[in-house]
Amino acid sequence: MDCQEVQEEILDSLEDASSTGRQQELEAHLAKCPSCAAFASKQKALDVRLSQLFTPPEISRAFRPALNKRIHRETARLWLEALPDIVHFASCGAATALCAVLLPYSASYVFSVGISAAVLAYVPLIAIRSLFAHETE
Amino acid sequence: MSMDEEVQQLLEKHRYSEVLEHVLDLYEKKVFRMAVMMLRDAGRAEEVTQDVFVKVWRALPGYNGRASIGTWLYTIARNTCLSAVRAESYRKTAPLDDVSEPSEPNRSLPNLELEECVSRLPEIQREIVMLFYLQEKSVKEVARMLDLPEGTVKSHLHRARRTLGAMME
Repeated sequence: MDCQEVQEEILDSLEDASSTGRQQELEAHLAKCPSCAAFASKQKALDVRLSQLFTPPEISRAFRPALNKRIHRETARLWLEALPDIVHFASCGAATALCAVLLPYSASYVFSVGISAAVLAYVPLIAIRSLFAHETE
Repeated sequence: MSMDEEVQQLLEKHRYSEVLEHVLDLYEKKVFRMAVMMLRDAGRAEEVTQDVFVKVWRALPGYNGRASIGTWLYTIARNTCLSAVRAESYRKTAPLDDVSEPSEPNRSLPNLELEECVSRLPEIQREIVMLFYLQEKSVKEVARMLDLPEGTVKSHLHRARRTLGAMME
């Protein structure tokens, strides 16, 4: 093993302690090479200092509850956003069903009820949208 | 059963809350530490970590399993942290004196504190050194986080150690 290989091996061992498969060779080299021995002790000391400098911070206990709260709010918001469309779809469906029920009666009757129901179907839609507009202001 | 298979099964059953719990148990700390490394502020990092998991929760129904859940999550985390860093830098423009420049590898800076030395490393080396120690010395995890091959992470780490060693002389 030359000095370059030894130094790479030392650096590898700092990343994975089990990586030094050539431990005996490494130790033999370090025993007779003061420059590599100095490199090894300097790098080990540096590793300890870096470990102290970058201690993994702990996440606070409030993290999960706060995240769950945000996700619940998000779910509610998605439902609220979809609500006007759901209401509009339901009222249009009700208007169509009413027209179908009145179909056996006179055409003008069905036509006027259909028009009124279609107009009325927009009432809940407009009401909900304006309610949200007030809430977001 | 691997984590990815388990997640995939839960996703097929549309059990998104359970998927999120799994993902949180496994990645919450790692993402937080990544955010700490990028934002240098634990409080802000916690907020950004929340943003990451809200985004993950929103995107879960569209997750197709092509990339592993970890790779997919780290992509979201990295992009969210980068956006937060950019937003921060818009808010407060750093004076030119505070901007550190990459140092030459063999320049000796005897009385410099270690933190200062680390801040003078080229950006990629600095990120890798910090992530390596913040992620409990896992090259594999750092490689996944930065979407780099493990060999590349190791060689950056080696170069950084040699540079730091030279700086500390």
